[in-house]
Amino acid sequence: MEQRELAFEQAASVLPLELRRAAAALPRVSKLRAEELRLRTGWPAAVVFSEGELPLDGPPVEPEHLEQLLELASRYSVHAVAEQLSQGFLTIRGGHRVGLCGTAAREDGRTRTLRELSSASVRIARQFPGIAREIAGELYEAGRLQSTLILAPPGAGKTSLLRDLIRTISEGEGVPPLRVGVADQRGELGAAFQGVPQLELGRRTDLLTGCPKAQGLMMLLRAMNPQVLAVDEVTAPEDVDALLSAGGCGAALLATVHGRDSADLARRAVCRDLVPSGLFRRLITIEGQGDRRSYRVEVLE
Amino acid sequence: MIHTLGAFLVALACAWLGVRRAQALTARVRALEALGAALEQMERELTFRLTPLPQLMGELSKDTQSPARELFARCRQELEGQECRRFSDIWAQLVTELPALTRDDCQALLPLGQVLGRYDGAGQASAIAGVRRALEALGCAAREDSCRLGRVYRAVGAAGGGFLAILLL
Repeated sequence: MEQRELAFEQAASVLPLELRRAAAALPRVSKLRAEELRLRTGWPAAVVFSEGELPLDGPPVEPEHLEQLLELASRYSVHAVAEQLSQGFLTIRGGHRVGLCGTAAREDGRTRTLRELSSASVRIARQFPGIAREIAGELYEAGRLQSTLILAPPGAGKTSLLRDLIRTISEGEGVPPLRVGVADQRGELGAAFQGVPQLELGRRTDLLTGCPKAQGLMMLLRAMNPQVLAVDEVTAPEDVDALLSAGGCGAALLATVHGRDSADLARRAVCRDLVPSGLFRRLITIEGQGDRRSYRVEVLE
Repeated sequence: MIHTLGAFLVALACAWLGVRRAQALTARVRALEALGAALEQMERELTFRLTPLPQLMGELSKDTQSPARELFARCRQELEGQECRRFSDIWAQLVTELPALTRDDCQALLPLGQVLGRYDGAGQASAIAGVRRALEALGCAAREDSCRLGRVYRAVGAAGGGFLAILLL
């Protein structure tokens, strides 16, 4: 079975049986192109392609289906994914991300969990080995890897590019090999399952999963002596603070952030300081969609 | 000669029945003790390690005594199977199929099906502690029954067998 089809089957495995049957009945070509599975109560489940959504044959989604999806996605262990769940998502085997919507149960000013689930999306994770090879060399200057920020809107392929950059640098494919420490809070980069990364990150990579990014970066610095630190989706002020601290410790940084271009970045309060800080020396932007993506590396002064 | 042999076999059968009934009482005590010990380990794992349920069931199936061992091994099989059943349904089925337990014992265990894997570690641990207390109370009663009724069953079996043998002779 092709890797993309396997990824689809893996992602669909968290659907309740009758919805899973509907997904399994999709033609192979659709399974290969599918990007997400969507469940909304009262409507049939749908599969998302780059051009839009296609409803699946099958019954409308019931709240019971979403409860069962949560049970299957958490491997019958909500307690083990409570931290992720409080942020509205959880990562399943294979690195696929299950996003959930419902009523937030709050305690002490923070969302503790979600109840009365109303919709869910299963985003199919895919590996694209080799996509970073062309640009990896541009990230080096005088033989040293420069700290790099990957900037693109949601769904543009930031995580895929970061994952392959980590793998390329760690394996030393066309560039000098380096030790990479990865703070993988949501488990999307390495998708570790019982300690074994399910997605390729390279032989010189140390993967810390499930830990908040800011804390994870510091733990990696103290414990694993990394030459490169990688983190996906910088969203909170404490992530930015941790990056600024880690950047001063001699390790190069690889990070992704949501945004269309550097003007977008400058408008966001959280990320505004990232580029002017001088911490990042390269900015990668992603253009295109579906299977046709192009990467542009900008040298930051 | 055949008459004597028949009477002897009847006496033996009655004594065996008495012993079997007494053994069933002992088996219940052992089963409750094994389940109580397993739940204690489960409580620790959920409190300190937040172990995912399939992995926890696997660990418990290795570290516990029968019939808890079989319960957790089958539970793990079901959780990792392809049928996507709700945990509460799996648990209810497996608990009611446990040998050696009475209906009250099963009733004490059933609420865990609604709790395990659905709440945070502390919530599950407190539910497990409640079930353990119920099992301990049932275990005390079962031990008393085993001491008191076990002797009675053995004695009645042996005496009844002897009485029938005398009648037949």
